[in-house]
Amino acid sequence: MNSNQIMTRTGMALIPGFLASVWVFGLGILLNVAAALLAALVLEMAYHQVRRRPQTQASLSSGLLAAVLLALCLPPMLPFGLVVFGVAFALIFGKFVYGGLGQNLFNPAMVGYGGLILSSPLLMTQWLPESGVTPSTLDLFRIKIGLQSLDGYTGATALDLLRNRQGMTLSEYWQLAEPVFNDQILISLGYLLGGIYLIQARIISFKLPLAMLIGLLVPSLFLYDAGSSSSLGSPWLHGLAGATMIGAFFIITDPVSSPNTTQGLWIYGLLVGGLTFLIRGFGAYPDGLAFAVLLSNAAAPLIDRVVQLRSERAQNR
Amino acid sequence: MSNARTLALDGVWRNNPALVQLLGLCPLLAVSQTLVTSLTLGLITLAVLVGANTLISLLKRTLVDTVRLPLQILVIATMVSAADLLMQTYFFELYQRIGLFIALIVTNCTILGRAELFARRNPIMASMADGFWMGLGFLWAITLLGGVREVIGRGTLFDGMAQLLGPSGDAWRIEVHQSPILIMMLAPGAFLALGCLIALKNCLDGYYESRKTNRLLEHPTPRESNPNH
Repeated sequence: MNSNQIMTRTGMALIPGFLASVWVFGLGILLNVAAALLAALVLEMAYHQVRRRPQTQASLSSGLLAAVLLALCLPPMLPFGLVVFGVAFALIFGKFVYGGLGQNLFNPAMVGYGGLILSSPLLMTQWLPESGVTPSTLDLFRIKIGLQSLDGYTGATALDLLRNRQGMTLSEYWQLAEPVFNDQILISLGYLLGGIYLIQARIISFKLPLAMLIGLLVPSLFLYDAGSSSSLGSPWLHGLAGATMIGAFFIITDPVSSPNTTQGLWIYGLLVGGLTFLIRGFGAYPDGLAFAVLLSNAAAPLIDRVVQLRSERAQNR
Repeated sequence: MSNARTLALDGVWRNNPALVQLLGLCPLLAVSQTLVTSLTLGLITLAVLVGANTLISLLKRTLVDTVRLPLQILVIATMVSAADLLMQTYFFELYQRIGLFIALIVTNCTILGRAELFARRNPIMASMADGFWMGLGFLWAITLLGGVREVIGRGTLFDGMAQLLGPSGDAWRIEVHQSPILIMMLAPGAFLALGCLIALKNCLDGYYESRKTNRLLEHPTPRESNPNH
């Protein structure tokens, strides 16, 4: 199987999660994905024109896949300008500056997400509300091209509510967050389904997702604190809320920016999961997956090196 | 090419302390949020560099070789303390914004680097010139970086000029656009902007180099086309 087929199948595996997102959040997600795909297509073609390199299928499809992954992490009412900015940031600073496909140190989609959340933290955390008031299609278009403010339509995510619950116990929090969280479960199950397909088709190994889920869920089990007001959230919440599932199966499994050694994969997955939990619990941003992935990407070459050195030393002994 | 021209070209472009030697990155990245702070830090670094180079060149026979690094640092620290006190006196508002980094000029490797590599082996005038051109190289690089970051990250240019020029400085302020990209104000933006600036310089160098070779290929000088002549 060549890398082009791998990326096509990964794209297909995203379909259940994508459909669930569109079902829950409406047309906005579809528009985000379409805008991101278009922007990535233009950028990839422009890059190969500028650098005078032949356009390969694999490079194009990896760029498109990164754009889709980024778009699926964006809130539905983010203006088009920011979606395009995110994709441009992802591809230019996450891929092109390193010399294109296979050379990048960081996961391009998460580079774009990091750039966006640092640039407009407010717009990036405005999701559709639990109240069910959705904008009409016309209003949605007006918001997306920046003619209308999105006040009155937005709401927080389950992880946002968890951060800002101000001394509520978890059972009080659940009454508030349950409708939002139920939507999240549907989307997460969609990604889980796609991920299981990928593992079964031997496109990704089960090690990375499993290690990441262990790294995330075991600490949350210990710090669950029986749902008191200082609880950091139950494993159930952490496993299904936010970007956990899309991250575990689609983002950290990017073969370019993750380690190459088997032991390295376990360490890397645990590191992503643990950092995600730490940033969710104590960091400045509600969902820490993007930063956890970027930090672990930076550590991946070191992890590989340490694992190789240790195995060489063990052989020499 | 004369010695003075080599010094100028080296300091400002070919061996630019910020873009080629990559020295003094801490102030370069930390203070370049706006044009005014960058300009101030660049000017003070320039002054310190000229002063330190001159002093060290003057003292080059007195500086004991085995402990020359601490002695050079002491000379530089003296210059920096003087600049620090002067700035507190005349630009106190600005001092409150970037005062920490003024004291940190001592640790700017450009200055110790020039003292060690140039001033301690060269005559006074040449050392002064070297300090001036290297300082100018740092000044234009940090000012450009600050300008780019301010325009993208804040949508303004020359904001806060009054702190440098007095009340008349407010007239300098330009509102460029209304949609600032916050990341340029933060640490990642500093690295991104510096990386792009270095890439741009290398790109220009490559373009100039290729044009020079092309010109040689198209119009070879008589001697080159006719080596036996």
